[in-house]
Amino acid sequence: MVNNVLLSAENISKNFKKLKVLDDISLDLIQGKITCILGSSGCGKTTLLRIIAGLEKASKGKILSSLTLPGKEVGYMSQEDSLLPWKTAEQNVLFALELTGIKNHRQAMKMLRLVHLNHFSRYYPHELSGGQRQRVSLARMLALSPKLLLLDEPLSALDIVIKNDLTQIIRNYVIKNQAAALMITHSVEEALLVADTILILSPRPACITDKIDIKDSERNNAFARVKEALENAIKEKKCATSS
Amino acid sequence: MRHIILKFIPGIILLLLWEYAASHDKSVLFFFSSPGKVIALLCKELQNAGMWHNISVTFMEASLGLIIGTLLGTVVGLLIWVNDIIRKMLEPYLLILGAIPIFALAPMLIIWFGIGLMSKVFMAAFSVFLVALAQSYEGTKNAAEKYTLFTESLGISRMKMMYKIILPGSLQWILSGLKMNIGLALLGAFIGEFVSSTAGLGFYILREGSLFNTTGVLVGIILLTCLSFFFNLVLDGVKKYLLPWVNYQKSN
Repeated sequence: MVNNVLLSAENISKNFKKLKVLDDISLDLIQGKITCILGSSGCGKTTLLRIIAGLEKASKGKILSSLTLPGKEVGYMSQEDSLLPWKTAEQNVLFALELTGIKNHRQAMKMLRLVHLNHFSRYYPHELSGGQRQRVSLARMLALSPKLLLLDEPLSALDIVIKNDLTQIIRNYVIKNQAAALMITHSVEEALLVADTILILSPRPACITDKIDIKDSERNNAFARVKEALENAIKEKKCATSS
Repeated sequence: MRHIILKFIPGIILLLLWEYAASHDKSVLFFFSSPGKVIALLCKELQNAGMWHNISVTFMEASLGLIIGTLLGTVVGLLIWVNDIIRKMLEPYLLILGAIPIFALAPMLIIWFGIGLMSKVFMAAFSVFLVALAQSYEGTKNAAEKYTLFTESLGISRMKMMYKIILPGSLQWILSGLKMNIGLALLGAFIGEFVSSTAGLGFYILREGSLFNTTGVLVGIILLTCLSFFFNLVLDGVKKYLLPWVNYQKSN
């Protein structure tokens, strides 16, 4: 593995009995960079993310990483906030810290401040809006200072203002802490908002058909290019030989 | 207010028709009694210490049975989630248990525990066990689906997850099971009293029935229904206190 590569997935394939879901997928997650997997709904993105998180076994291929998977250096965030309804925002963040053996109120409050929710620390999830709950979720994930962020469409149910806000927090965290992030999405806009590298995934059995590096300067103008790559992946499905 | 009045109209009409029929036809009075007679006997019986003893006996049997059956069912339901081997081991036995008409066990329970309190308590506990088990297992699955994605990726042990997330997360399902089981626990206690007993509302109803006193039978049924309402009220209070977010989710 190259020095700044935190995790490498090599030739990952996954079959569910006779159904082939993933076909020979390779990718590298690099420190300080956000990689985004863009693909149509139901193509196997979440399965790939779960394999990378160590929650599911690949039928073929391997994951190489210096991290323990699943483990305390991995942060996972999904579309649904999965906050515990019987705990306040602060307790939810604190709960994540407690699970890893640290009970640190100051750290929990610091994280809530980071997502601009320090004034809502005593609110229960049902008293918060969808966007606020997702921010608490983010605070909970970041409180553990993960080295690897795995993001399963965390922005898809949010409006553009909150999307921008959360994206900025994630980007800052990844750069400042030299963490690596992998986000999956089916939205070109979301991918462009957050990613340094976009990997296009074909429909099932999914393979990577294209890899597009996004520079900050071209973030606003790359929409047509990425959309075309996604459409080609759906229509033609020409798997790239490597990531 | 108008809706409340509307709800009462069919009941009042039915009671008036029943009273009218009973006052004009002796056979209606014999087979169905009359609302006036039922109310009069109910008021009389409530001043009678013997009736309060019957009520308290049935209350004790049903509430103890409800608690024991729910606790056992819930623990087994949770264990099944924690360990797949336990699930596979218990599955055939639970299927057999589900197929047994529980009330057919009443004579056995009398043999094992005598005609006192315990046989009725276990009858009620057996009646609620499987529903409690199913509810707690469903609750664990639901809580696991909703709340554990984040903790799974941290590599937290299943036992720790059970204690910290699954158990509080499935409380809503366990309490719903408890609510469903109120009727079953009362029925269990009632059947136990029917088979053999010296006190309780089942005993009272059976005695009045054997004397062809339909008024007495109806008084017993009304008191059993009141017990059920009481259990429901208590449980609703507990639910509101322990799970304040559930009402919010429902109203949304």
